[in-house]
Amino acid sequence: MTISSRASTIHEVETLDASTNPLREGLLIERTPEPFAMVIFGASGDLTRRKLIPALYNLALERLLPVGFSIVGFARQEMSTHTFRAKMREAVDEFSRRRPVDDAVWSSFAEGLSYVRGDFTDADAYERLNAHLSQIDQERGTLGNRLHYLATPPDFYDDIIENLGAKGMNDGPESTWQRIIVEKPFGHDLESAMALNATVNRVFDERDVYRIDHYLGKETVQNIIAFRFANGIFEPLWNRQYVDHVQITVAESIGIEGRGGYYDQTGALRDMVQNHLMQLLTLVAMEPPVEMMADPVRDEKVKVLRAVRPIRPDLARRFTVRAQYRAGFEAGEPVPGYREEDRVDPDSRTETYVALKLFVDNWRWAGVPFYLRTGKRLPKRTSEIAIQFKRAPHLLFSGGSIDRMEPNVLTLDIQPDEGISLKFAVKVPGPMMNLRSVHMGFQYGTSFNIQSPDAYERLLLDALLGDPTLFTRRDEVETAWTIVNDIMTGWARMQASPLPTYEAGTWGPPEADAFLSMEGRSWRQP
Amino acid sequence: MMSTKATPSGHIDVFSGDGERVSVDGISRELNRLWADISRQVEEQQGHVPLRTTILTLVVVARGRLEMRQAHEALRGLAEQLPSRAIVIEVGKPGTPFDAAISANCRMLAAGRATCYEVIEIRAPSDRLEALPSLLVPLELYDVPSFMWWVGDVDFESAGFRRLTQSAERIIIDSSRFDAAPDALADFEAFLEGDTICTGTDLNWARSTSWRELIAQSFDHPLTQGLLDRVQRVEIGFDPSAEAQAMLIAGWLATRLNWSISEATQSRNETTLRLRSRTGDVIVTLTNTSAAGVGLRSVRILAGSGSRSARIAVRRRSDDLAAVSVEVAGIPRQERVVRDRQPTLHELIGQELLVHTRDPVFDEALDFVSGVVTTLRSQHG
Repeated sequence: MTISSRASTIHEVETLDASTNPLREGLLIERTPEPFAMVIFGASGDLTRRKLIPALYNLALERLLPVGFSIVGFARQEMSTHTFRAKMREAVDEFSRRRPVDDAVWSSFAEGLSYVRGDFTDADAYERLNAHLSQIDQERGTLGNRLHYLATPPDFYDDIIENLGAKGMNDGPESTWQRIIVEKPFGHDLESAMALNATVNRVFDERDVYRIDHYLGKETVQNIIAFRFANGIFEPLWNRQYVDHVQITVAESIGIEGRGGYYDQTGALRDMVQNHLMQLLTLVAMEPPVEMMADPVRDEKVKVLRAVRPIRPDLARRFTVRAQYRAGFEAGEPVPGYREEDRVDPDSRTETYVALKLFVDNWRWAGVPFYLRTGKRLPKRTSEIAIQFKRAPHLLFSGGSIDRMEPNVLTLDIQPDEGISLKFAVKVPGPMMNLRSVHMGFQYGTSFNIQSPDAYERLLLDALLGDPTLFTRRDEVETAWTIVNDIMTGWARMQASPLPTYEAGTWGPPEADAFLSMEGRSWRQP
Repeated sequence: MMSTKATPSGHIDVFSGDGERVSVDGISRELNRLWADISRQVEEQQGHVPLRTTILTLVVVARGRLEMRQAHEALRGLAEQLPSRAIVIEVGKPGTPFDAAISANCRMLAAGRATCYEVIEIRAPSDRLEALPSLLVPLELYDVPSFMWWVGDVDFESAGFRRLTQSAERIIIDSSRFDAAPDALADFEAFLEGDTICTGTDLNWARSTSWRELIAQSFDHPLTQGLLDRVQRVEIGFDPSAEAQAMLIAGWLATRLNWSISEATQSRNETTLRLRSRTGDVIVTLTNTSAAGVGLRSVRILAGSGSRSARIAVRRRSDDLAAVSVEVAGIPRQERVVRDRQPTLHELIGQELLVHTRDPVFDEALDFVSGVVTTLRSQHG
């Protein structure tokens, strides 16, 4: 028995590990996806054209897709595969970050593109789609692996998911995988988010559900984790002992860009805060995960959201500011006010700007305010997280400019110029003890002049590889909605109050400035 | 003696062979002066002082005009990619004096950003190389990795080489610059295995990266991965200048898949290796196609047999395209065309500068190549 056992052990050691590929060792790319067929629901839409197909082409160009990969477009529009390929070529020509398009690579890529016409509510269409996919398995060796991408308006999510389940397209032979990517918005409030999650989880196991928030695919967002947990010097300061407050800004200079119908039903709180800003908050406030794996990371993010002190409806006025832009200027050109925008209710009370004060009630952050703000038609497009440290406990240098010395600020720039900077005081050369603040900056663009992949490229590849770390888990979505729901309830009770406004091209309403100034603080002007 | 260009760049001949002693202090002082001047230029143009980031020191050793030109071309390309301090050593004729010049350059990018680099150029007589570390060591930047790139061929046994490499953390050679590339790889391996603490790499290893990735990717497929320990035959075709790449590919496959050499034979255009895997013999042939190209031409792998078999092929289709085909028993043959442009010299160096620690995969492949060379040498007396 002992001899047999030893022989078995030796055999295992000598045999190549079939679950991994030894040829991958030392290569920059750890692995590429198994052959797969990806179905894009809503393939005639803007997201497919602008983001998905260009991202997939770029992945193919980078040789990150396997031989035999296939992409099936599914939509209501009548279109042949030939026409679909031609339209997608135009899309890649227009939107790929890797232009001009390489004809030979495109031609090889296009062989894997096909189109099936069908109504999202028509069960027969899914029958045809399934048969088409089986044929692809035979012809291109995709083995039954599927990635379903919901690139449709959210109204169709339920129908598509139910039909996939009814036709068994959520299941396959053992050792194959069937995953689904759900685009935001994940519901429009807590109730609808829970209903959507329930539908998704009736058909797909949670581990196969990839809720995509493209913000998490951005290189700098991922770098927040690297910066915090790969450097020993910052983490000891990253707490209530040293941090005065945190500001998270996601500013857009554009207006609603023709999305009036959608935006007027949504507003900045749902459109930006529930997802993007909450994600940034969790990454900056979370505890170190036990390992860089999907669930440990997401567990820590959820803990932050659970620790966020609810803004009870009666406190909404104290802890939030919402506003709407009125006519103003963008880059010197006059722009209309929100209520004058196309397909916006002229009496709309939808907010285009929101500022929040949140507290994360846990050991690390107790008493430290996190100020979040986002808005449209602000002076520039920028996203940053600023950690403002407490002032030195004793000011040795008095008089002159000393009293106006600004505290240290560590800024994580997310877009458009990704980088990290630290503001600190130095002595101005000369006989006097004059101090001034200087910036020490690191910019990705000047240190690594290497083009970062688009967020969709990174996230699509992760979904194909089965790594959900950068995707949002069910409990994350629902906990974030819980925070937002309370605020929405509070705002609903404030209908009689006038809605603050701000001139387009400015940093928001005066109420937002007062919001911080009454606490002796001020917004940064990034 | 000093000239500063109007663009955010500058050049100073610190010493021009006029008898003044080349000193670290002198070079550092002039470098500071140069940067102050450039900062003023940038501030005038952009309204702010440029933020400088330097992520490595690169020491370049070159001989003669051609190598110096290649070194400078590569540095210009690298500067946009990796802001760095480069110390270029031009090995001159014996008996000539030491000489030094410095230059710095900021390339303005969008949104007021700039990448900056600086070059310290030292001309040193070939008979005084042993004195160079006293200049090099203090000029290398602290806290960032230090690389040494030998542009041309190298005498690994020479005292100059051994002395200069004492301060390098990582050495980059280009075996394609050697008359007998496999022999050079064997000598390089012997040097790295010796009492040096530095690590090394060969640009031919970087040149083979894309093909290694394509081959590895072909075995990511669940139906082919199980056949990795049943490889029977590997055929590598290469253009005359790519013998080292072919050898390194063979060494990479052999060491990743635990094959050992049992026999090596060589004819004019072909090397045949008989290797032992856990499941049987593997025959690897390396064929010089005598084609006019400059790289690998094809790698074909046959694994398994009968209903459990696969044929993998990566072949060059044109200067910038490769085709990958996978043929698994029971599934129609799949082929994909991928872009595979030969990287420029600065891209290759840039790729290697991103790795500053030992690369055990390269080391093992190099060790294998050295073993093949030793076996061939012993068989040919």
